[in-house]
Amino acid sequence: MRPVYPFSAIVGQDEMKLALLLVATDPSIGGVMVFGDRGTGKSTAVRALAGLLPPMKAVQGCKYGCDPNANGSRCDECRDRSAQGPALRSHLVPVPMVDLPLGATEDRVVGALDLERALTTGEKAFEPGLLARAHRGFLYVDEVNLLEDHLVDLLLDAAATGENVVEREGVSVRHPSRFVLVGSGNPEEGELRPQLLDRFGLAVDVRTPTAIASRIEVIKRRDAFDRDPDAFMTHWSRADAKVRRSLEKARARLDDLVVDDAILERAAMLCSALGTDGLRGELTLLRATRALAAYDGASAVTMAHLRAVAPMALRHRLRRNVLDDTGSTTRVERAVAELWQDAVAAA
Amino acid sequence: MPLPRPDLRSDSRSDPRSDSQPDLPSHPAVLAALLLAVDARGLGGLLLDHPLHESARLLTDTLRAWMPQYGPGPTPLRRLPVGITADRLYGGVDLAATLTTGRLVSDRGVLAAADGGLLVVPMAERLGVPARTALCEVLDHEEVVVARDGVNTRHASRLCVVLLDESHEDERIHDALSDRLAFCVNVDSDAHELLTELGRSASMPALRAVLRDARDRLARISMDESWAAELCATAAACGVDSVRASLFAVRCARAHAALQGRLMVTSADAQVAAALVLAPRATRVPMPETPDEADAAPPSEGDDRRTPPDAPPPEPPRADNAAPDETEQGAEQEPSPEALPAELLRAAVEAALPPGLLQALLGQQNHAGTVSGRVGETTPNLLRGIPRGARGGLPRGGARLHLLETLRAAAPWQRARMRERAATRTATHTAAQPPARDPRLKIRREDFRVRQFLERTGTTVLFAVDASGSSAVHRLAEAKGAVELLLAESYARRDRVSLLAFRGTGTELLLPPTRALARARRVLAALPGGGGTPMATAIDAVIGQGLQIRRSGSSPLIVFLTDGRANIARDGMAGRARAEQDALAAAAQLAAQRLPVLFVDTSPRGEPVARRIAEAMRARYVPLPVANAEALGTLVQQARQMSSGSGARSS
Repeated sequence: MRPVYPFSAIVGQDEMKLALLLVATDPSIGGVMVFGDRGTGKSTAVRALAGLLPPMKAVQGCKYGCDPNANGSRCDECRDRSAQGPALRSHLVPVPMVDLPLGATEDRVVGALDLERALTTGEKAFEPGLLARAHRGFLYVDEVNLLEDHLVDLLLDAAATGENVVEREGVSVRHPSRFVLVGSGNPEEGELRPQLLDRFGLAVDVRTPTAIASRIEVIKRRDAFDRDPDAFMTHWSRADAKVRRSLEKARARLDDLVVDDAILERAAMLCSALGTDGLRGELTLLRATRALAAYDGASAVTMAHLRAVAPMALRHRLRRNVLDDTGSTTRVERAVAELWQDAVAAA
Repeated sequence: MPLPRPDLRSDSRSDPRSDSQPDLPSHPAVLAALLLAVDARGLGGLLLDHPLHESARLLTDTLRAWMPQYGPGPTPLRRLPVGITADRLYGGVDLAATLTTGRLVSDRGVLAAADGGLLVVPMAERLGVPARTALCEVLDHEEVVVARDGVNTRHASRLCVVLLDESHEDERIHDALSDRLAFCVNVDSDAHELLTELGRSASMPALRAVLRDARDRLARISMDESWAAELCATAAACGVDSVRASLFAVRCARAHAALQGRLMVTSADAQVAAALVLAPRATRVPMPETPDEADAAPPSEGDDRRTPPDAPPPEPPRADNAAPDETEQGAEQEPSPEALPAELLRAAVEAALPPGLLQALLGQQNHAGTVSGRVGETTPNLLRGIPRGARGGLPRGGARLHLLETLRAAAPWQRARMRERAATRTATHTAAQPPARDPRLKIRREDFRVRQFLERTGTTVLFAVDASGSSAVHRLAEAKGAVELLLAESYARRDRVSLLAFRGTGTELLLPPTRALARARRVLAALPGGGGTPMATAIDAVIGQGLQIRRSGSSPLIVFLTDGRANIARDGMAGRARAEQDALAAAAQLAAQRLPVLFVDTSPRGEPVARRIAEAMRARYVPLPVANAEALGTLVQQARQMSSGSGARSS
């Protein structure tokens, strides 16, 4: 396996990097959908993010990696154990980054009867699947638009409920499965089902860098990385550590930040101006705004934060207007500009 | 912190081999193979453009002989059959071994088995989506991640992929795949001869030694940063968007330098890289200096880089390769009498472009670029029979046994059954009669599981849009609007759509069945109007398309948008009476095929001819005046229910 390319060494693609950092700051934002051209470093960025995240505490011996502090979302085993005995012992584990290969079968995604144990000992045991492995971490699906529909259904269900319910060949298991879904894909190769698209908290577009200078930089760094990964990693480790610290600080700060009514109102106006359906958009917009303020180290959430995250939080929720071919990013930006202008005029 | 980089100058001068290199073949196909033998992992592989069977075989065999041996055995060479199933691609449960040992044994799929060697893909243009994405994953990460059928594992899979492009007409290899391979070459008769010669001649051991040396040297090849910059600039000038291409060009230049026995990349290496990697991907002919400088060269950094490398700099770079602030370094270098590298590379690209291509490229914009995406959803195996778990039942009547699920069903009962059997045996068998050997597994009738397929026939809506003068005058724009609304609806439904326009004397399939609605919209917006109404020809074309859609496993639904005022007969002659006669005959044929049709009359007040044609088609007739766009949507919905076999059914 190739070593993981450092996150901070990715040239440009600021919006994608920011979106990933925001969901890492506040996983409740939901997932990130990355639309983009080939060879723009989509999967590189996602894998790099995993390499960057600070390790998390997990209950020792728990096969789902339960959070020792979360009472609500533990697996049955951990709940029983904590009810019976002393406090659960925990240890630090890396945040899981699970790849869902397109060739995965349903039994591997949700988990299934452990065939080996069933054959050798006749024991009916559950073998956790990818949804269990991704608990509290990231589930990455490259070319998610090509994923088979029945697998998409499974993902949607787990993502919506935060748990995975398995009823197969005599196994009856439910376990927590909260994960940040990160998908990437090229819409030209088949569109995404609207239900799935809506589940992603943020959506970003990545483009091949057009400025030659940045393309050269991409090539140079990639080449240096390929030739001597260790030296390259050492070189970038300080920058990565800095990002990791900001992330840790942002997480700590998140709960202290309050979004005031003026911003709530502006967010609601923006959503209604754009005609986004449902509350999901509004909620995501607010969470992303707060996460950005936390990540920036700001003492308060401001309109500027709202404005900055609006495109990525809303662009994939616009009702398709087939007669208007304007890009969704442009539409969001236009609405933002109008609202802000009105606000200035009103003031 | 700068990266440690060895000073290679003294090294390169003292290298005794650098003068005694044999002349390398200059044929692109042979050279590409040699370069791959030097750096297969960095370059990914190559695409052979419509090769003869023997030539392809010769090239892959030669390449295999040239490649390094990682393991104890010979370098693996595996072929990937087009219809390969995911279980063979990724590997999974080895059933025989699992059953004999009683514990789960996994086997390696083709991707893992080809590790360290060659993977040859014949008819690469027909490769299904699962196989294609698996290949892309492997090329990116050099390993296969298996998560199927009870197996969770990873295998190393460092491949050199050889795609055989045998496409014709509108088939083509998916960009995502070809983008990940450095080379695209043509194995013509010259290459064939050369390869035969190289394979036969006594120089084979010598060549192998050269390749071995080159591989050893590869990690030490230094490259002036300006060459990377030049290759990027050249890529941009040729309209090559993918960043991977530039990266391949850089690696190719290095491999070539290694092959030439050098320790530093020179202009010759960069030229080869430009010709072999960039030229085949060119989407436009590199323009002469002036206009290009204006738009392609970025202001600060780029200019800095453009001027200094008047030559392959004699000073080996000691610079930090990764830090972005190393720009002045080149300025210190002495100019040398060689020509501007940018021009050289451009010339190399131009020379490598096949003659016919220039014209084609000039006429047609963006062939391989990122906007096109004309590949869409053409793989039938995605639509037909998606395996979806298993259900209880005996494997008969064509149903295929799902062994793994059968095992799973039987597994929990094994102990109980063993006990049961032991009990019955002691009851019936006496000591005189030795017991028959126990089967290891007791599988009963009720354990059997058969594979269940989800045959998502789905609907493909074929829009036949009348773009003739009469329609255009009336309401081509409105018809377009209506189609767009229907498109939006199809999008929500995950239907595929196809678009066919007719005017003048002919029909044109503007869009083969696709799910990429963005394209449909673009194509429709660009549709011009004018000319006669070749109704009969249009109906014939619709029949052909409709049947083809049906053959591909989808249920067709045809939507005609026309005023029905046929005035061009089947033979292309103008004349209303004949044209109408032909149209009615064609419509009857359409009806005979039992293709569901919705006929939207776009004339202002409803046209009797249109109604007659619609009746002959046994179509549902709707005059547009009553059908506002939304009502039209409901109609399509009804028609969809009418069309048989839509939705999922299991077999």
